Amino acid sequence: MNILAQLTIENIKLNRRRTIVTIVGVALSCALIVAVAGMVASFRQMMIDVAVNEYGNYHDMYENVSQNGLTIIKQNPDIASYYYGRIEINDETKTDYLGNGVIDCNSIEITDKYDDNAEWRGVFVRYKNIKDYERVRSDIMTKISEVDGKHTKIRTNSELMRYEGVMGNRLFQTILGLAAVVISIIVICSVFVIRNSFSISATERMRQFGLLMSIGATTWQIRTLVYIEGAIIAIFGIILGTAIGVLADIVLVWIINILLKEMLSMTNGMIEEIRFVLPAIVPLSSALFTIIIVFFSGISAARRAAKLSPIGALQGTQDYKIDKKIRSSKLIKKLFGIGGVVADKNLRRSRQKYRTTVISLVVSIAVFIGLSSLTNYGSKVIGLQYANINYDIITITDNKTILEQIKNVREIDDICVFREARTSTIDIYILDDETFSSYARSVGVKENDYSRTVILNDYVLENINGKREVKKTTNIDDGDDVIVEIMDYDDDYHAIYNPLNLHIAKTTDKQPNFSKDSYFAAYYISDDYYQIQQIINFADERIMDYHILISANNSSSVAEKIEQLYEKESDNTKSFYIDNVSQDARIMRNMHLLLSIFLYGFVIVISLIGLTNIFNTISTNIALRAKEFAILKSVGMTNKEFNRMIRLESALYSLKSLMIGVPLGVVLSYLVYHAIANSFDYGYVLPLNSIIISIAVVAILVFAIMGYSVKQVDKQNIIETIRNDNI
Amino acid sequence: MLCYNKIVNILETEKLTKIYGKGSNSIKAVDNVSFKVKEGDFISIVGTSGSGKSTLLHLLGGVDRPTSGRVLIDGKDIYKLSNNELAIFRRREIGIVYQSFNLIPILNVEDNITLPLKLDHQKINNKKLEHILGLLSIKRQRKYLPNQLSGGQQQRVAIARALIGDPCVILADEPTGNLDSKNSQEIIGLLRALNDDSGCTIIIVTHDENIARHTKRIIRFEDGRIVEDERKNT
Repeated sequence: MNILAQLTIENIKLNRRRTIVTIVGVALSCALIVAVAGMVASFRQMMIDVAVNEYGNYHDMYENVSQNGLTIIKQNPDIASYYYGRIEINDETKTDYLGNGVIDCNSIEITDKYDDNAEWRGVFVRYKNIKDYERVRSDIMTKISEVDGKHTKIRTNSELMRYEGVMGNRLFQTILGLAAVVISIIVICSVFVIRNSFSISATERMRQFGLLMSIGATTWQIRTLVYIEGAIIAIFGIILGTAIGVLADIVLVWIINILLKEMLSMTNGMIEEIRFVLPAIVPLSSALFTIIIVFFSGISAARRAAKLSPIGALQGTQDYKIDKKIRSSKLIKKLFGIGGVVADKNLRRSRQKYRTTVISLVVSIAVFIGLSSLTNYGSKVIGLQYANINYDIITITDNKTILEQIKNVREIDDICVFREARTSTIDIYILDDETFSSYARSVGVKENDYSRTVILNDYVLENINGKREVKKTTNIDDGDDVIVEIMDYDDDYHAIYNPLNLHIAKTTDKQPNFSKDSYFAAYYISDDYYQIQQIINFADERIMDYHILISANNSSSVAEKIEQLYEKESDNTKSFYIDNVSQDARIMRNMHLLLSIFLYGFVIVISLIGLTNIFNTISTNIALRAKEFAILKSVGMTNKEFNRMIRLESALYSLKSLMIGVPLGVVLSYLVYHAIANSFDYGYVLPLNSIIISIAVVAILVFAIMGYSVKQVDKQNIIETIRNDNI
Repeated sequence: MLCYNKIVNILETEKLTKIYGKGSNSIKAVDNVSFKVKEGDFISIVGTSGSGKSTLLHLLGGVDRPTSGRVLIDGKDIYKLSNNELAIFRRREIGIVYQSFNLIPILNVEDNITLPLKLDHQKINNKKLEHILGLLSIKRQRKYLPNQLSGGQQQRVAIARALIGDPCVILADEPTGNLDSKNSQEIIGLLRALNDDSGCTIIIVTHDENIARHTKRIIRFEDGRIVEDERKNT
């Protein structure tokens, strides 16, 4: 075997643990890229499935061709498949199908014969190579016009073509763009993080490189040693990473289908579920990106190795810069003793190694804090949206019959009905009798007959300079009489106002049950109110629709029943609207959960990649300094002092990375807030939770890794370590 | 010997200087050294610790670049060569033996010895390999790893590695430094025999007068300069 390959393989065997950890890091990067690309592919497949379900599984439809024309199509080698369809032309279909739109396959009768006698018939074809469709299409059309003597009409399933990648598709291009950004982030982070592992390997083998150069290895041969190691790591990393990534995709698709089941069921069979697909380009492109990552990670190590002078490398004097004196601060000496001074000087001299570890930690910390903010704000937005809603279904209609029928639907736990009359100042809410009486009792107005009762809630939530306060907006008191102007429209749709006298029984800041978390002002009266007819006459009919708020455990079944009622009464209903609000909330919550899974999953994986690097750096650093430790111990440094030295190094690593990473993360979280601040009315909140978690994790991690590595070194005999001269 | 030009001087230095550090921190390890070595010579460079003798040897071997001056091996100014050319030159024309053996621990004896040839993409002449293994009495250990050998055996492997490419000159930096007296005697005897039998040019750096005694020419080195250059009549 080639000597360079042999040397590299033996070396890898010697440093099994570090190589495995590096391979794991590379595999994680590859897995992440596979997961992202796989998600994009599955999403694309979903859109293709939608297009197929909605419009049919064809690219082009050739209309009304003769049997000869049909033969031409069937015999064309570039046609993957075809089927026939026919339509009976009637008044309805005339406009739909003799127009120029895409044909809805649900309205066509699919036949197994090309029916010459049908008024309208078509051949629906799929091309083998969709990118070539123009050539094949014009080829077929030319041949058919030669045979038939006339021009063939074609309808294109542009939706399907778009998702299969031929015509411009803005949505998909946006997704691709987003995926490209995410993958770039992964690649850059990975290179940053994996680069160090190669650097460590090269540093460890420096003596070997020096020896090889002294017996005549060229710089290219030395670089090749690094590249061979890179190739081996890349191959194993790609295999492992692709496997993990594919598994992750399968699991993610499964989770998405569970969480979004309700939303998918609302598409009426358009999308039944998201399918997991793995087109070849996914593993191929991931492998390519992984190779890029490994190459850029290894290239600086290779260059550094090639620049060594043989004797410098052999004697290990090129690790440290001794061009200026390094003074340790007196404070460190006081606090940490001589051990601390050695630690501090060590960190200052080998800046390169120190820096890369710190950078990995910084990246992980910043990304964690920034992305946590994103999910936190996401949950706040959802919380805000649905916080004020105390019902499951809202439906709005003008049809009083349906209202009575709805009231009789079983499984309804609670129902509130109101109508609204707009005024020039505070609107009038007309509640149904049950709703009004329970509200009146709750504000302390107990009557047998509520037909003359008017309750005013004139308290409003004001948001002044970020401070929120509930304030009374009028000076109307219990027992006052007011004149309210009810809004109406004249024949020219100009607003006119009709005055109405109201005697206020009670003013309150309490809201009725159905709007108890809202803060808006309203006059409340019941359906029984003695002047209600006048109000109804004045107010525009459109405004007087019934708003029906329903609480029900099984909201989907209730919603379905109500929809059926509407269908039966559709002739008598001018308007209706129904919204299964609790279902919306559930769907939003599930989507938010999904978003959290993706974001946190991403952060965790990036952090894991960083972790592999940190582990490698710290443990190898320590192993390389085995001789130094042994010497320190041999001249009498006690275990206590030694441990103090290690603890100081751990503290310095953690502190430096936290001092940069946390502010960076906070900046990132502020940017996130700024980006979505217009969606909701919330002040910026410092992500304290994430910061505390970062601090704890980093500290534990660094100390643990250092402790573990030192234990490994401790096991060695002092003098053997010092004497260990062979490379 | 792969030395085509039958020039009398196989190795020559001209005003060779090596300075470490800058300004007030600078040290002149080798100071304006010029001398000539005939083909087939057996030289020891003797000096105390810190005299700069090892640095001189490294400069002669092309493993460290001088601050100024020239080193000519077989007529070639080696520091005019590019790094790659120098590397190739090194593996064909120079054999280096170090005090701390510097064998590759993951390769066995045979692989360590043939390493320079493999780097040069040369075919391994089994006859020559057998001859060298026999010469250095390490035939039985040919498949052993370095950590299975004694110090003396490891040094012999290092010498074998230096010999395998038929170099113009062999440079040895304190070759007996890590060995006990018996092994030291064996090694210096070996080198002497090599020089006598095959006319190999050998330059040793040592602080040990007992070792230096066995060589034909002693150059005394102090503070970066040659203070004495004595040819012995043996």
